[in-house]
Amino acid sequence: MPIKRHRRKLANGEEKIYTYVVSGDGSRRQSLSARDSSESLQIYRGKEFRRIVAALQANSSLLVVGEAGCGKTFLAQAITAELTEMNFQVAVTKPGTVKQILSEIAAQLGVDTENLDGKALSTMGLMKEIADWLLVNTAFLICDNAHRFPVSLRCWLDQLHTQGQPILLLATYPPARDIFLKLPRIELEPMPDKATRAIMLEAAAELNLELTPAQLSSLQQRVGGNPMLAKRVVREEYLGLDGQALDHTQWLDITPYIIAALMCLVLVRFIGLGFNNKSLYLLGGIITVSVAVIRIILYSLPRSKGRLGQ
Amino acid sequence: MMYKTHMALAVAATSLILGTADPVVLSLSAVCSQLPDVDTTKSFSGRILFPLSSYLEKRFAHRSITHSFLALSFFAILIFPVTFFGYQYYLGMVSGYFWGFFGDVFTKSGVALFYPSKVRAICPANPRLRLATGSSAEWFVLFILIIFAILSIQINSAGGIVRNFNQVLGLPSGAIETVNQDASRYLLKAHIKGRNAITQEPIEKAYEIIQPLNQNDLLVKDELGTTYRVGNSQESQIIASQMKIERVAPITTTVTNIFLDDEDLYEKIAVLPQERTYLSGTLTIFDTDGLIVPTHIDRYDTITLQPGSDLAYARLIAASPQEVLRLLGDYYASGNLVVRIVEPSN
Repeated sequence: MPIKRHRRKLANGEEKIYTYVVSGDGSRRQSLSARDSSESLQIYRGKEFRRIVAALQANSSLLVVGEAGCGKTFLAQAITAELTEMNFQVAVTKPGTVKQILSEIAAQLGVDTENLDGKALSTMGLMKEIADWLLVNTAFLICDNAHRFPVSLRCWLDQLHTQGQPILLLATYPPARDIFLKLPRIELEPMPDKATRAIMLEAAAELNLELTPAQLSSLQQRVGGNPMLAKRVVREEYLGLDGQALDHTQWLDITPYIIAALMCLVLVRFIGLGFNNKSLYLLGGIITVSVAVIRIILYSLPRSKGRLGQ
Repeated sequence: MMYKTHMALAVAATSLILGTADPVVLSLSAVCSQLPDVDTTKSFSGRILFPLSSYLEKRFAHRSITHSFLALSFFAILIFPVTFFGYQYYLGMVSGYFWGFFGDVFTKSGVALFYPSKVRAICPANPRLRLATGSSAEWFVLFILIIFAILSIQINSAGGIVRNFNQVLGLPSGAIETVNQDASRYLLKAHIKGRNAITQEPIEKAYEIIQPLNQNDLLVKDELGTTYRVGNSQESQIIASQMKIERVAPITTTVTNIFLDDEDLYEKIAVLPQERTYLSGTLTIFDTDGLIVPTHIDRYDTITLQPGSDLAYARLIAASPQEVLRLLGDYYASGNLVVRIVEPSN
């Protein structure tokens, strides 16, 4: 059944987005949701969300780790919105050079970026100024894509952490050193089927694309609990691409287990030997060689990382 | 994977693992190999079990919940009552279900074998080498699987892998093992390649098997009824290098005992059927005047004599009634004989 989404302006000036399912002939419709257009999308990682907000409120820093596209940025936005709602001051970093990042933080917090002479502060000066400001004021630092931060910035964050500043770092598999080691970490697990399915439905509704449950269930195979991929597969379907890219990381290569199972058949050879049965012994020998050949072939297949740019 | 590939894989694997060619077991496993795909309404089984497939596909990704060891154990428990009809049927169904989803390991998007874990099991690791549904590679795999299934059924209906392997190789030790299994149910013929132990002449001939003598040797006879010991031991008349066993006809075997107490051998033996009757045992012969049992080096003597004064002991091993009558027919004897009468049943 197709899903429709409409944006309506109400008499009191509020704007709302209505999502509902319409049956094929339009005779029946069922409302799915009605929400404020300004309100952020539904948070499927509710548990992590609440935990992070609580930790930050308790003046504790956190590191959120997860694969690319697992919803870290979305989570950071939701947390920023929640903390701002609670009237806390929040500084969110944007990608850039160290100086750009620091100026951005200073601007968001309202820290002076000029010295008494009216000259712009150096990087070191900014770092000191923000750190001093944070010592006497309450504010949260939210750093997305922290795995890209250069060492100088990480050392500064380390220093802030030592002076008791609550920081939220979000990173895609960061290196295990300095600040990334010190902070308590939360790993974002793959999303449950229900959540990825809902995200796919939303993405389809945004594109005004009608997908049958069978199509969705088939597309969902390539998602592996990753919300970014959930949106991407729908988009690929929309563009008519057959989407053979299997980018999620939830794979388990069972080749060794298959070979191990086959290796058990080699026992036949020893059973033949033990019972003095020449035919079983010979048969076991043939099985042994076949398993060895299969093993060699399977292990000599080209590895998957053979593409350009990887 | 296409439903045909699942079917072929399930049939080939089930027949190979269970060592069966039973059409009921194999068709049950072929049917059950379709069940994991009940998680999409596009599949064969999904269309038949529509309410279930529609429920599942709304909630789960394809090849997840129904393609897992979790589902397999549920299925195995659910169909346990099938054991009432036969354990083989049960095993065939469980094996069919297992191979129905395990085959998808070789496809692009893999299988969530360990559901509820999202991890998708794959083999091999490179996605480019895995199968895409309906691709020409899959048709090729299907073709290979069908050949495997046919071979496996063929081998199993001809007595199993080991037996066929013995037949192909023609190893004497394997042939004797086959004889040990089959001798009570079939009239067997041995196609022997080897040489005469005395004349060193090459031999390539078929002999009817009478019985195994020990772990290494067989007692056989040719069309004239001459008996030979075939094998690799010192006493053999024919040293076999290759021996293949052929089932000629099913048989019924009757075994009886004859007790003699100083009685005329002729009366007792002449009433027995003359064709394929084998007498074994030890007899005490009285009044042995003029009794001579010749010994031969070029054949197996089924009757051997241990002479004494006025008394003699005759030892019979699968001796034919004609032979007994010819050599001992005129004498009185005491003892116990085991009579084995083999009749082809038709």
